[in-house]
Amino acid sequence: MTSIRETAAPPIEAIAPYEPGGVSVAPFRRFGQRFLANRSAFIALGFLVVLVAVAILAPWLTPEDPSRQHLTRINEGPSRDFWLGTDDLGRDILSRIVIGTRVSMRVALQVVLVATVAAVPLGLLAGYFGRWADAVLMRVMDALFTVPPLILALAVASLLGPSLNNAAFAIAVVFVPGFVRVIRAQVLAIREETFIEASRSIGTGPVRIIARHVLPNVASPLIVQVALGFGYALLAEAGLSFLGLGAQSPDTSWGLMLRGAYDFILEEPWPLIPPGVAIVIAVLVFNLVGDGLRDSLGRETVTLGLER
Amino acid sequence: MSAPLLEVEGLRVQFGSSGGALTVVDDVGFSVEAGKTLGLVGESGCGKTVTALAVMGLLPPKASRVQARRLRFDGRDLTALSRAERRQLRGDAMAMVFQEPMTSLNPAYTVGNQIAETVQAHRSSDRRSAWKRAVEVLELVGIPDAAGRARDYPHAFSGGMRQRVMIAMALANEPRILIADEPTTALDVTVQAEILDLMRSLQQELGMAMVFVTHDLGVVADICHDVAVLYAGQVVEHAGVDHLFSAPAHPYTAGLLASMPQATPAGRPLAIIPGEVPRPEDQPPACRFAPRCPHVQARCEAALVPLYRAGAASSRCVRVGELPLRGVVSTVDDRSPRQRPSPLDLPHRAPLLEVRGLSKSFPVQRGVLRRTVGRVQAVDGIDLDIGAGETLGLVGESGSGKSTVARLILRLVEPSAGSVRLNGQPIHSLAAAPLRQARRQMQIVFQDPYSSLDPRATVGATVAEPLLVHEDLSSAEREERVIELLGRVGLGRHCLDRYPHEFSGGQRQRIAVARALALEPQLVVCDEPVSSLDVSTQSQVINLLMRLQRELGLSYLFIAHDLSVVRHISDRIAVMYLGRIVEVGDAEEVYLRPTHPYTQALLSAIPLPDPGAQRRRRRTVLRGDPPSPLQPPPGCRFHTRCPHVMDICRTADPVAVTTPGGSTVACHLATADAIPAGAAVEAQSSG
Repeated sequence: MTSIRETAAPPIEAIAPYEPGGVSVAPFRRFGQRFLANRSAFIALGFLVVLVAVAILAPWLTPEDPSRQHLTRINEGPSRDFWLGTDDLGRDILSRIVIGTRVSMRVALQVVLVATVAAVPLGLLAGYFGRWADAVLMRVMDALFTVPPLILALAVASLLGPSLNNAAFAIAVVFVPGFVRVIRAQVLAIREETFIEASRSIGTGPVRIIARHVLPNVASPLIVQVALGFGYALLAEAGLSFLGLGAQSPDTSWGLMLRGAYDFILEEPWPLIPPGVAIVIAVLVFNLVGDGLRDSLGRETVTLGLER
Repeated sequence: MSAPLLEVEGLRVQFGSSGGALTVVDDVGFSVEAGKTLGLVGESGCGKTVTALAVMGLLPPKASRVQARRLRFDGRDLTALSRAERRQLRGDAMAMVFQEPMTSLNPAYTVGNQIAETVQAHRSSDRRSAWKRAVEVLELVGIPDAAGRARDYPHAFSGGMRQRVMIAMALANEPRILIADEPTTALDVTVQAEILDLMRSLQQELGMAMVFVTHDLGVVADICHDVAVLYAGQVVEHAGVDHLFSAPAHPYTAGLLASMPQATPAGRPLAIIPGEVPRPEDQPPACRFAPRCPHVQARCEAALVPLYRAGAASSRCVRVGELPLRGVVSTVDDRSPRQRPSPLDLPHRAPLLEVRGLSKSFPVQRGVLRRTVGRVQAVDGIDLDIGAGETLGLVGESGSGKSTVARLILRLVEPSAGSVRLNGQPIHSLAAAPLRQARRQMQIVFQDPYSSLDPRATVGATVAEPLLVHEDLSSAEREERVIELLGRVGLGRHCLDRYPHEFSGGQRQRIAVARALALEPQLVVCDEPVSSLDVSTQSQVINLLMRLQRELGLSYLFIAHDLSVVRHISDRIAVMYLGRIVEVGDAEEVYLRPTHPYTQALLSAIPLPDPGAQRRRRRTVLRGDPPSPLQPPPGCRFHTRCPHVMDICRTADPVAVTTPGGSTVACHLATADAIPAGAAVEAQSSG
């Protein structure tokens, strides 16, 4: 009697090594494909590119010197000379919006950058090592959470004087606890993954594990948080400038423009509209891009969703 | 012979948009009569679950397209029914039981409530009578104190009990057909045996038809009358169960049967089916099994293959009838001698790994203040030895502490007490830096290859990590080593820059093995390395592990819940129950002449891939679930489920003794073994 084993199945040694076919699909490419498939995020991304371009090229894009006053033509509506009209000092609103884009974007970038740089190590520390480091850090974060950004900005302004940089600093401080929480929560989940245990069993030290395995897996939610953070930072800056705690005249920002227009809201409401619309569009763009990122940055898995 | 209750012919299921529609199930047909059970068998990705869902009408109507030449239930054409009419049938005349009992029940409602809801959805009965029916069916599925338990929430039930509740819910409206999708896969073997017995007896009692979806040929042999074997979305063979197992008509069926560990004498390479199940998007055009078939000819790849009749069976193979396909010959009594003696039998050889009195208890914390309210004794004073080049198999059900033992030995978890020595070096007391050095000698392969590889790291980076940490190599040297390691596990150099998600489960497990071997360890702990893999892939990985052991002189601690796999690869086997080792001995001795009642029960619970032998065999069925490790029973921990329990078992801890066969057993029965069995009973009743 012949056994099927000898006739049927060649031993594994006889089988050529497996070579994957097709093109390697790096995680980032799949992300790109998924993101581009999301129409609203794609359109928002287009707007974002425009916003960034305007911010960078602002000095060359303004049709007028944004500080030049046409005192005979104050609070005008849109016209051939002034496409978006003029403000209470007869300055070209379009030019001020363009320059304001630069200011607002810069502040948002500063805030998010400072907050991220501060929050990433704290979140990794609290999440990965846990115990007392976690307890102490998170209580400090809880305390920071209770501080309203406005009060903090007032305190900073009264200590250091009102300025755009101080406002950015105040907003960044308020942002840190939220970022830390997102990172920590993600690290707590990643820490329990088997591949972390596998690294520990190899003898990899904690620093390398965090840098090579934890951080890359925390990156996705962090990127989403950062994108959404841009929108909030922009809004917070507009709020603080509106209250006179941010950008100071003759500098400009969208919030400060609202402030100026607010005084004449009953006589001449038009100058309120362009900066208001600019803020809405910018915040919406960041939120849509953030949502798009959230939907497209997933774990890389190949499932048809059919069988386990 | 009655007319079939359910008839399926030419069933085709497609997913996705019309442009890129993916055909997942193609030309599937079968029929079931009342009182009979049909098994739908195949590996994952073959379309078993989709077929079951399509028959139930549970596939999402927007994302899927279901067509069939014939889909009749009880004489009614299911394809002609409206969605409301299909819903009327579901949970009433057609019921389904799902795989995951832990997630199939809503945690917010009592189980009685959920069953009563099913009743009220189909019967115009008031709440009282619906509740009464709920208690009735809970009694029917053997839940003790059903009236009281109906008021409990799902979390108060164990996995096995929840599956009983799910079955009760399915039976609430007296279905004529029950479709069960891997209902026992998530359960331990002893619990699985109980559930299978229950389903069989319920079927006889209620005369219903069953469709049993499973990947486990043992389960098929145990419970099914007819079998449809699915491969890549098609039925490749349809036959009566005895016929299928004794004379398979399709090479895939024969391959599945041959790759069961029972089909090969222990220690020899298992038969394998090379390759993997093709994905729906790259299905071979003609015979879908041709690329993996050992009997392939030119005509196999020439044209579509219909189902051929071959005597009592039908087979989708052009060479049907001319192939020398072999069925399963029960090899349970195979007493072929071991190929080599256990290294520990050789005198004066110190073991590579010595574990003494190893214990671990985890605190149980409750409330806001995280007060410790109790301790779970996960591992309770175990002793183990592993010799150089030896494989020790460690078996036990979930919750027995097997995986904790693995982590304790590698010191991924700190032990509460006891010692672990590797080559005489005390692992348990090393400081951080020397411990990191010692890790070179011992590596681990985890159960789930999907979570044990970092999804953001390339395969090359994953395999290179141990070298990066421990060895001072240039990047070119490192890459060379990684390619060599990948080659050892059967993966080519182009895998280097790929990410884990581009590989199948079996391939990922090979990557994990390559990583474990990078530092040339002496001991590799394999924590259920094949339990998440399909039969054919499982045998590939087991063969790989055995070959690597031969080539590199590795020692394995091989942890699994599947005794037949463990027996195949191990020199010795240790059986764990509730944190303790109850029996250790030579693999064949433990497998063929188990001494401890728990080992006996565990062995008799494994369904044999041989319907005849399965029917003839007398089973030691354990009653109830394992007790909670939070409050382990006093005396012998097994006494609450032991069929041979004596008075002494309830109070005194059994001392480990050596049996005539050379095994070490902790059981009062073994202690009294010198006395004839009758005398033991007398001594116990008089004492």
